Amino acid sequence: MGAPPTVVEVNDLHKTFRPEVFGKPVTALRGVSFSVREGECFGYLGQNGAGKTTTLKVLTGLMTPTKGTASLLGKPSGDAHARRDLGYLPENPYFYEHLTPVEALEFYGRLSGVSPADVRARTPRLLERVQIQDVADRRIRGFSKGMRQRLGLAAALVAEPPLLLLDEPLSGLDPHGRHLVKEIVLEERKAGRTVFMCSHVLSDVEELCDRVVVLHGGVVVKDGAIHDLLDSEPKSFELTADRVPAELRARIQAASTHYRESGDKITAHVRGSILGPEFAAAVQGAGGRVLSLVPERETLETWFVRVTGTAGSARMGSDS
Amino acid sequence: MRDRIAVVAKATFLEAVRDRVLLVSAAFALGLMLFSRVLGWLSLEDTLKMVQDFSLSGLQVLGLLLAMLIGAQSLAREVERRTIYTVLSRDCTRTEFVIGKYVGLVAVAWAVLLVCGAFQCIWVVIWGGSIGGAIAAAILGVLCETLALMSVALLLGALANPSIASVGTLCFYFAGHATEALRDLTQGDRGQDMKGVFQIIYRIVPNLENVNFINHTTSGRPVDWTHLGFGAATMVVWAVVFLAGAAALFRRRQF
Repeated sequence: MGAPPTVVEVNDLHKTFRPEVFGKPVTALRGVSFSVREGECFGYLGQNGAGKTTTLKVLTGLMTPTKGTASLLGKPSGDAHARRDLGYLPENPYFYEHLTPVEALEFYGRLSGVSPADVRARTPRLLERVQIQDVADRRIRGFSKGMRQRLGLAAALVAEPPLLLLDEPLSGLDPHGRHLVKEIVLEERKAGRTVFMCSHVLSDVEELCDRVVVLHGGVVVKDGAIHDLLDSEPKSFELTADRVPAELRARIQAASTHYRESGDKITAHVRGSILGPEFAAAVQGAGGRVLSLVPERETLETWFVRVTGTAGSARMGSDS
Repeated sequence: MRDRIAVVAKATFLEAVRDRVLLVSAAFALGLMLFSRVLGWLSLEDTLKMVQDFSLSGLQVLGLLLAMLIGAQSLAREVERRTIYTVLSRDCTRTEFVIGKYVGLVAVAWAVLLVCGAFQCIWVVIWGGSIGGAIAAAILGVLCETLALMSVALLLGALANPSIASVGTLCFYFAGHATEALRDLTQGDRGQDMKGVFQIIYRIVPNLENVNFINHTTSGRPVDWTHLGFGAATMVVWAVVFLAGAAALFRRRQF
């Protein structure tokens, strides 16, 4: 069986913003290349100003690149018809405030080529799905940020597009809303849709995405599957035990980065993937009791800080 | 394509209606009607003539104000409020969007002008006038003029900020009504220094007087319907030219 077809293709994308009169040009993208395959949930990560939004604007046709190409489902992203199969949720979605959610979905659905009958049939289901059915006939003007975010997601889904482009989809949502949106993203993936998401909440990206690309200073610094990028071996262990002999306590304390005693109980934080299990075995061998041994693996967040920190230092070095 | 244009036009129309543009315009027209009566008292001229003249001129000014206030700001507001992001990221070209906005804005302006025009007809009847071909031609002329004004407002709105676009629309209005005077200046020995400039302006600015039939109403002159038809056709042609310019400028914009 061959690899799934490519849905988003970005090749050597450059974007430089030239000032109208005075000032220096600002380069947002410097040769960005990546691709997203059908059915993937893809995370596009980067610090503020890394070039994520610029890439999304090129992909949605709001901006033209200075150099390079971007395509959606095989068609150039600048072609309006390429966007027929795209559901886009911008960061902080803005709507026509005078419309109601029902009218807004009709508006966006019709713009995406959905027939009036289909829009009418889908609207109640979608509003229920994002749980704003109770305000279906209220003007958007009075909506909170979370309600707008939910409506934005419904608007992205109204044409049932095979590709979803979500910019900070969990921004401004309460815990219940975040859970709901994550559920919807997972359901869409299960239905075979491709999801391309940008988010600063890396725990969510780790939970939802298979693959990430990290952008730093307009350059792709990492591209790969999350499980390949993160170290699978534990970075450290937290050992909690009681009835530990004094001599062994002293050895554990000496090897720990953090150590705490509370009566008969000790809690030690030891680095590496070997020491923790070794000390646990020694405690048991010396007649003590291991209460817990918790491995601490690298999270996407710690990995991201490490990668972008390294890339930042490398860039600063090369710039100087 | 027509579907998408209609969808954008409908949203533009609804926005203006819900933002109470119609209500404010109706209040403006009512104010004009009452003021025309006051002027009738103060003037030495016939009261009916004053009422007709002032009401229809007011309708013309209302068309200009709508172009300046809602037309010139329309595209800039979409960008400023970022509603453009969710529209252009759909299967909707920028040309379709500009045409949709134009159709919606013209529909708003025509609705306002027709409602106000109807009130003014009633007002004229109250003061002893009759509704004939001349008053109908004057109102139709204002509607045709709005076609050109709204397209200029959109073109300038795509080119510059809303304030400059509004002022530009106002200048276009005055120049459009003064082209015949400019042509006269190029006749004979007058205005020799500026003759070339006046000739250029005369040729490039649409002649809005081609659709101005207000004087026919007040002076009782018969209406030449062929002239109105010609004027309407030129307004449509100019509107298409300005709209094509607005779409071309908007296609180049980066958001």
